Amino acid sequence: MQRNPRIFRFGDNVSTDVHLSSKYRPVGTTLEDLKECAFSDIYPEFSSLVQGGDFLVAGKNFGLVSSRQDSAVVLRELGISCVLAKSFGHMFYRNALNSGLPLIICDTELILDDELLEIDLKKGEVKFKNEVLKFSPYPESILKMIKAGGLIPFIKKNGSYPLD
Amino acid sequence: MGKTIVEKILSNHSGRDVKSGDFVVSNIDHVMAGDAKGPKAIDIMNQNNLKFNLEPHKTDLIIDHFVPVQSTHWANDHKKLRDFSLDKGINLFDAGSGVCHTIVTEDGKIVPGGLAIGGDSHVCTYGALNCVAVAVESIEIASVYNTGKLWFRVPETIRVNFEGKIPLGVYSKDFVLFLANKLGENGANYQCIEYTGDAISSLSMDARFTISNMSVDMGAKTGIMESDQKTINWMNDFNANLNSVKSDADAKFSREVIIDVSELTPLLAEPPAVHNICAVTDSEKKRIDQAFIGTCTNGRLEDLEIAAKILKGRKINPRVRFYIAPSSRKILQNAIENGVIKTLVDAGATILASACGPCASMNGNGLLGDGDRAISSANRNFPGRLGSKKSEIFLSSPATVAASALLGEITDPREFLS
Ligand code: SF4
Repeated sequence: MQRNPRIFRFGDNVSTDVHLSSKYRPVGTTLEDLKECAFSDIYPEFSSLVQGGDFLVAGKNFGLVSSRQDSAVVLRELGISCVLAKSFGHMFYRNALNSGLPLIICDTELILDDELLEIDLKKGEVKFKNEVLKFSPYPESILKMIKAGGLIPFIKKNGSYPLD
Repeated sequence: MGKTIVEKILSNHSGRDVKSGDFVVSNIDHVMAGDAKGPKAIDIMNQNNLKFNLEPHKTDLIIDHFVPVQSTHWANDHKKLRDFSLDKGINLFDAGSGVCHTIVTEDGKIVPGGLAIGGDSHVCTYGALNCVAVAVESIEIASVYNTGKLWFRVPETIRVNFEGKIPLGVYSKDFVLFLANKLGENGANYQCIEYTGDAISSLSMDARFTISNMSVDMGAKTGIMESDQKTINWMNDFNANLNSVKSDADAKFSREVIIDVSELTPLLAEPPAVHNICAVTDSEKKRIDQAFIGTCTNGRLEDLEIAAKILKGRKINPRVRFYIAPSSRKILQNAIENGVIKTLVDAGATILASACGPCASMNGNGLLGDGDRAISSANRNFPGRLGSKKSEIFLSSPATVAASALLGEITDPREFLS
């Protein structure tokens, strides 16, 4: 049954190795396998609880370390609408936007676990209860890329990048 | 407001005036696609009917991670790269040419003031040539093959000043290990590190590449140095167009760090992480089972020469497997010509293909078993990086690796250098 979008909370320094756990293999793992093992080392129930539209809220350096495109694709495929963190690993940051998964850098300590979040990527606002958290908004071209579902669908549709 | 090197280079390549935090779409000068990410990039292009529109000389395909290839899966991937190279007229560095970052920087296509991407984390090695180089994924390679451009978020810069006279037995690897410890785990996340100071100027290009190479191991997006006469001499072999870029005097840095190298001693990164540093003298006498000199970090000619100097006329401990993978064929040839390879082999070293070798588990070369301890000139030492999760990897300069291979235990190289 569809419930209201909820928040899944993570701490600091969650690496991409943890995103996909030790079940990850460079060869022959399907996206379905990967969906099942998302965060299984630190949050075993995660993949069974998550629903489309849910949020991840984390501390510092979410998605550190190695460049695994798959770790962002899996979160998008699980229906995560947005990841909010104090900061992101630089390769995860690129991989997420390139996979059509929006990320928001803000002070996530202000967000309680049971909030209902409303997010405006264009204005750069996270709204909940009576609070409004500001973050630096994405330019038009990046928003278009996210909306198109990532980098490849974006250039397929537009031929190239509009410069804005 | 002044600008940093990375702000200037991203501005120059986009025709816009950008500063840290801005998003920018920039023209790319060079794309490196190796055997780890290249084959998938080709698949993505085929699946999405993306045309290859880049001028072929702006990219190189490289076979280095899985060499000599040990599974049919990777053998088929290699075939895919060879076919793509023939079809599009792209240069391919095939197995045995060397490690991607070493051969690309030896080839004259990476120029001061340039902007490059590569399908491997350590592409930041190019920073020693005053080129901004960013690690990317297969889909980004595919997209640049199609459009010639890529988006970036302009990073802030941490400026690190290495000053002072370099003591005997201390090398650029020791500089960067010391810095990794000082910045802490991922202390440079999403930033550019600019390396400067008289101690950097006094280093050879070979030694500078070791420092820029490890920027990513401190979490940085990239690392950069100014160019100077040594950079120009390096580039002059290629008749390249030089457009050296410097940070303005009033540029804004997120942090400035000063390190007096005259106080440094030979260092080790102990497992499980690069920032976990101690003095070699604090770990001395620990038994080692394997020693390795090679990789994009420390497998260049100067590194082999330092090892040969320590090992000349001596024999390593027979209990140690001592592997050496010269980081490119050119380096191997030079080391044959100047007698360094003979010295190393006479001492008991085994010479491996010019490729990644026992740097990481993936190609199955020189893996460690349970309880094995290795000392290596590479850049990463997390558990399981090279075989068993119950093995240990200590990282150090090639001098410390060679001295340790000699005695079969972790050894201060200064004893052999006076
Ligand atoms: S030598 Fe090691 S770090 Fe360098 S590219 Fe090869 S596997 Fe990566």
